[in-house]
Amino acid sequence: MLTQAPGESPLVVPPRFSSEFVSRLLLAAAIVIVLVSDAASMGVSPQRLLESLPKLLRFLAGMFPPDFSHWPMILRATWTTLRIALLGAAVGLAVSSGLAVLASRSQSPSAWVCRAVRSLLSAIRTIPELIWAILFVIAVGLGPLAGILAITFDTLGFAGRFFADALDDAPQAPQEALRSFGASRLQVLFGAVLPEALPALIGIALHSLERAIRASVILGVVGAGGIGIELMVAIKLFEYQRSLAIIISILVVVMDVETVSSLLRRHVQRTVAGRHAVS
Amino acid sequence: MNRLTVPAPFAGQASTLSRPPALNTGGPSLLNVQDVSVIRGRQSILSGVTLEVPQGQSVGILGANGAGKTTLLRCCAGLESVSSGTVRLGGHTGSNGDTLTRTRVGMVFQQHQLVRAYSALTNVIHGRLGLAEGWRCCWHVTAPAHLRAKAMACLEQVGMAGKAMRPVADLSGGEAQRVAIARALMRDPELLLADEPTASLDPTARLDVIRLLTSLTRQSPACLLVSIHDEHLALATMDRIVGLKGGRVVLDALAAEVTLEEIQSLYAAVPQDEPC
Ligand SMILES: Nc1ncnc2c1ncn2[C@@H]1O[C@H](COP(=O)(O)OP(=O)(O)OP(=O)(O)O)[C@@H](O)[C@H]1O
Ligand SMILES: [Mg+2]
Repeated sequence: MLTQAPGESPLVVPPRFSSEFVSRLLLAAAIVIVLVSDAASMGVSPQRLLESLPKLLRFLAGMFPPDFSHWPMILRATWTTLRIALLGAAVGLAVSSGLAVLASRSQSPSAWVCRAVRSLLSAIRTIPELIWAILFVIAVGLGPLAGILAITFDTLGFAGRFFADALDDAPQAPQEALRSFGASRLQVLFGAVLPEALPALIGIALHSLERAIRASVILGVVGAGGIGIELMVAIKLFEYQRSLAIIISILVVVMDVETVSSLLRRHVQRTVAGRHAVS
Repeated sequence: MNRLTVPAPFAGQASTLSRPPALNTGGPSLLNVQDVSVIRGRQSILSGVTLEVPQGQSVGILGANGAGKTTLLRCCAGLESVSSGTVRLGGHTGSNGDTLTRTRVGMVFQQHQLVRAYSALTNVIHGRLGLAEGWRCCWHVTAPAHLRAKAMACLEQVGMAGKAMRPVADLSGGEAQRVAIARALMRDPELLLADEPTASLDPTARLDVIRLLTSLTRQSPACLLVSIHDEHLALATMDRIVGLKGGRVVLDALAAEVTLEEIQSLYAAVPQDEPC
């Protein structure tokens, strides 16, 4: 009925602002006010930022030109960092692919196991990689092993959870078909879940690798091996030109890894779009 | 309209015919559905369905959309828990799908439910999961040689041998349907369940596929339950027609004795406010 019959109550146009909308707006304003005043109380103010600008510029200017005279050391430390990241991520991914099956809601042998492993993974995730590194430096001493262990745990918390979610996202219908044939849980996992989830799993693994590279740079700062410690030392000794050289080499490594990883990811996606089967 | 000039099998031996209750053509009944009701939430999906199917018989299940065909087939496969009644296969109760039932059943699903990332061959070999060499049958690469050969034979039967290594994602709807049928054949089932196996097939392929199913049923001998929407096809190829309407069996007779009018009345509107 498009036209209104005469005699019926006239159409009421709703008000522009409902009381609900107004109260939400007030809440948003209150949050902004609290944040701004809190920043002021911590000594954050536009003036101070402006005043520190020249200092920052002087610092940056002091970094030029980068000093690559220590390049053998930089190369060696960068290589160590890369190896820490790769090894740590590899171990972390291996362990987390096992845990992910237990943590997946659809694949876990029991709801209890699923909940326990999920809580374990989220507990691991709450601890930042730097804290892991400090813990492992205390436990196993200074050096790359502490870094590898820290990266392993960092990858575990991240990949374990996302692997589990990817397994849960695999289409249910083929799984039901195999189950109806009497296939066991693991047979369903290998027959129907893994092949369908594989592109997502590879994407997560590559993402973990990128995370590991970035994390492994910072780990050196607490003595867990790699380029981070060199950067720390250079800054402490006010050798800004050397530190810029180190920063540049870190950038090159991180960017290279991200480029390779995104190339691989695109390749995986393309093969999936082109639907080349797992066979 | 009558393109299908297939002599109705079993036409001569319609001796004991009683309708609408269960109908028996003689031999021992392999599938025994007793007074099965399925209730989901407040909705009654199947009510008091009784069906006895002897070895070698092909049963066409007809009914409008939502009549309960899929649910009935899933109950027979042990995929759906029944609210009351029993489903028995060769004397074994399997209402909740114990493995004994499952090893004897081959199901072709309405949405074929294949693993899209795997090849047709691997999907067909999956049909052996739950049977003896189950473990090696997750993937065609690891499967035993005789099963790979058997899978190729099953694919050949549905005319898909030429595309064995194609991923299912690359297949057309009808081709995937055929692969799903081959997967069910792979199980050497005693009870072959097919939920609209011909839905996405072209007219000649429909006849071929249904004939393949019925001839296998007669040879094995197994029994076959197919839901079909094509009444001419059903009359031409099935031994027996079961009509569902609103979750009840309203027609159960040998195909040779069913008239087109009886079938068309299945699709007439269901009385709307039926007391529950
Ligand atoms: N899990 C469920 N919960 C609630 N209702 C359901 C459920 N499964 C099926 N139904 C309902 O049961 C009725 C029968 O469904 P079913 O899939 O068996 O019909 P069908 O005869 O196979 O129809 P079609 O010809 O469309 O395939 C439908 O009305 C459907 O909505
Ligand atoms: Mg259906």
